[in-house]
Amino acid sequence: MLRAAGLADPGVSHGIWQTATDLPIALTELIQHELPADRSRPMLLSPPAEEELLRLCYAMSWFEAVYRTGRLWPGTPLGDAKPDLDLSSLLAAVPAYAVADLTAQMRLAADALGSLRGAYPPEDVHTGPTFAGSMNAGGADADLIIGDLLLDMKATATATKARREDFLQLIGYVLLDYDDRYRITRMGVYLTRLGALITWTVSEYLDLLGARRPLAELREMCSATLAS
Amino acid sequence: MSLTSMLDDRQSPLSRLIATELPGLADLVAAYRGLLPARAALRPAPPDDVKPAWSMLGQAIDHRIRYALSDRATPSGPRGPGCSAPLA
Repeated sequence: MLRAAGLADPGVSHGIWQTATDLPIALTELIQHELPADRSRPMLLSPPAEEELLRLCYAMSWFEAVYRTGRLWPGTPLGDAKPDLDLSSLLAAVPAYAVADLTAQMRLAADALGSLRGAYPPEDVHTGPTFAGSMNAGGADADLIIGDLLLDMKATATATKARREDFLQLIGYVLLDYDDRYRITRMGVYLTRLGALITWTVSEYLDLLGARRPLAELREMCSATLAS
Repeated sequence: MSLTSMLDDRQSPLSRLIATELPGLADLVAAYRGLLPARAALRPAPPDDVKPAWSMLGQAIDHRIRYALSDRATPSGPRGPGCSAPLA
């Protein structure tokens, strides 16, 4: 991947490789120490731990951009990396404005999602769930299922301009759950920049969409359509 | 083809099925807008000469919230750096 991304300097390549190896190790250690999913603890960690976790999450996003695009983008710490790149320097490169912004979003999340987090233990949460029909839809995976709630997270600052596809994607996941594996009865969106959790029952959502058939029948039709 | 691509393509079989069976998108969008809070959305405040890295910020908060909710949200997710093989 690094060669495909246009990286010729083996020293830089090794630095990025080593940092990519060290990042999930550091993340795992922090999570094991701070237990951010522990329901007996606040959603926000202590300020130093919160900042470290946010920097790790942001750094992970830099790597994900490389995986997604196959490019090391100039102007980013990975695209402009020198051979001495390591995890410390990468985390230090996370912009201060980003840490402040993410901290503010987490404060909103602690208020908006606190009740939901308290209502369902970690074992009732599925991250990146796939469905029986996902194989017919490019491996489609949703953001989260918390208990019976299918939840999409949106970090947009212009929530009023939600796209047609955003709404249809949500019902798409419900339709792809052919065998009702997750027993989803509610669905919605969490808007991270508004701290707004907007949910409907699946019945309400289908009613608003003008459905005239029951969910089970719509799932059968979806399955037949995608299989053909 | 991904779910997103199918939905983006209004002529795809799935989009046609949805258009036929779930034709009330306008009502849903109106209901959604009615549920939005009136307060302003948080916006990042980078230095004057820096554009906000919206995509990075969005992915980072997505990860962080997952870690708050699930202890199975492993760092080595499907596209994460913990998946070392693709880097080789």
